[in-house]
Amino acid sequence: MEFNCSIKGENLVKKYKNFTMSIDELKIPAGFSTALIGENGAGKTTLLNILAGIKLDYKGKLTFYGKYDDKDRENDPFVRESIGYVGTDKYFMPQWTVKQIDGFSQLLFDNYDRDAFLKIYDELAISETGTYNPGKKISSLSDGNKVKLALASVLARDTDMLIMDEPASPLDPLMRDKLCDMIREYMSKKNGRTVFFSTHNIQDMENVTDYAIIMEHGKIVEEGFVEDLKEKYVLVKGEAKDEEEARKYLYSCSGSKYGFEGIALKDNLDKFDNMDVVVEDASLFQISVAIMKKNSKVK
Amino acid sequence: MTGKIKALLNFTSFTPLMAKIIGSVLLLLLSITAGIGPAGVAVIIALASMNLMVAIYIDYFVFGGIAEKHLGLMTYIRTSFKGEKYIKDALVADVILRCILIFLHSVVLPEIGSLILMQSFLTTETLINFASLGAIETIVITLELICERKWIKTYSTIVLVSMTSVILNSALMALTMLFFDILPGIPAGLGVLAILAIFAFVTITLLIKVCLAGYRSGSCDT
Repeated sequence: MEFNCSIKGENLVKKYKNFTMSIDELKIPAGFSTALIGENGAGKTTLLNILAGIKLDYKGKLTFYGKYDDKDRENDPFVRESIGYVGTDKYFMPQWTVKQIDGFSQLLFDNYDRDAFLKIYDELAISETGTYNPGKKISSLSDGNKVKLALASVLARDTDMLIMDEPASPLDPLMRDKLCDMIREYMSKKNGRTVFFSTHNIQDMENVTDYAIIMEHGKIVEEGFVEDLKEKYVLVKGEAKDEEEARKYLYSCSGSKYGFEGIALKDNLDKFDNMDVVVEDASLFQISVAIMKKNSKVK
Repeated sequence: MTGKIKALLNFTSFTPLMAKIIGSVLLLLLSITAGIGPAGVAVIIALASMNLMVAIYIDYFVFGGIAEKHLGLMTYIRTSFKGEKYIKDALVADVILRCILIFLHSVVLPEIGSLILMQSFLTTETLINFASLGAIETIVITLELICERKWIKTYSTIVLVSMTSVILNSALMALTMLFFDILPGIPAGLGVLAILAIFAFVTITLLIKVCLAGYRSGSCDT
């Protein structure tokens, strides 16, 4: 499927002492919500930090909105103004207060809307008292409320792209559902808006995921629109007697004395012809876990 | 409030205002006593040393993070195109505030103290002398902050270095006083003050450059 990209990357390489992220081609489709999936240490945060301009010592080429490159991101305010980034650790300094964040945001971003910030702050019930608490320090907020405050400060800006690193992890189930609503609302408010987020909570975020990128060991091992991935992979369930033979063609397999189930390529279904199996649609979660298992060092 | 003033007030995002107010007010009140009686100069030197310690410790725990690669990444600021300018404004405001405080406690308030006794010591010569002391204090604090932001990584080292700085500061100030007592001529004093002022300006500029380089290096792991 042909699509325009909000961000395109070529030969992206970032080296650490014991880890190298190396991506030959990165495509973040414009106007869609893309999930970045991978086990711990796969290189997700590294990639997001590179895209948001937090980390600058990488090799390769980035193109934003089809016309701006990495240098433009550093020299032209448009690119950074158009990207809202929600990070994880040390996103805000611990001594900052809510009021200060509101004040700094006005100085740091031309597209920041204070009224929108206060509205989202109220909507997300960031303060325990339910009212705006300007003197509240970041250090006294829970991890969930820190993410909510980061979301409020970023969503209060008129951006074209949202990049979020593990936004769902510290949130409770109710707030995860709210996060999905907010992502949908963000995308529907303006044409062509793009969301790119990393997540371990695939099931919770699946209903706002249009495109998925799966990373392992610093490389992209699978990517595609969720519907296409679901066309490509299927869930195979069978009897215990066939498990050993079936394992040869399965990405992942979990078995018990009653039977087995695992993810296989739809193209390989003919390999199961001699077995007594049931084929079902796989969820993004099942596909992702199967691909991660196939590539993981975890035994 | 104009945008520039707002921008300069950014320093409050890195320096706990209450710590600054308590430390500064205490020092300023004490410095009034410097103009009272012959022990005034010693009081000023002691106050300068205290001010130095306060500045260093506040800096280590807050501003120091700017120059440290793996501390205080300040991701939110880095996402902004104006992030570096924001940091620079905050640093400039912090330096201006520090210079004002040093001038207040080394020149203005001792004079107020002496006026309480109806014996103003503020002649041209003493003004130059005390301004020179303030310049020395500025230089020592600034050099110490440069070292701290560039190399010092542990709390125990900061204690050692800050103590050394205080001793160095006190010795330099005492020597300057001695120097002016022996050679009290205004032209010579003015020359020394001019050199000290230039040196203070250079060290402050260097400090801001070191901090901004530290901020930039936070975007790189290599």
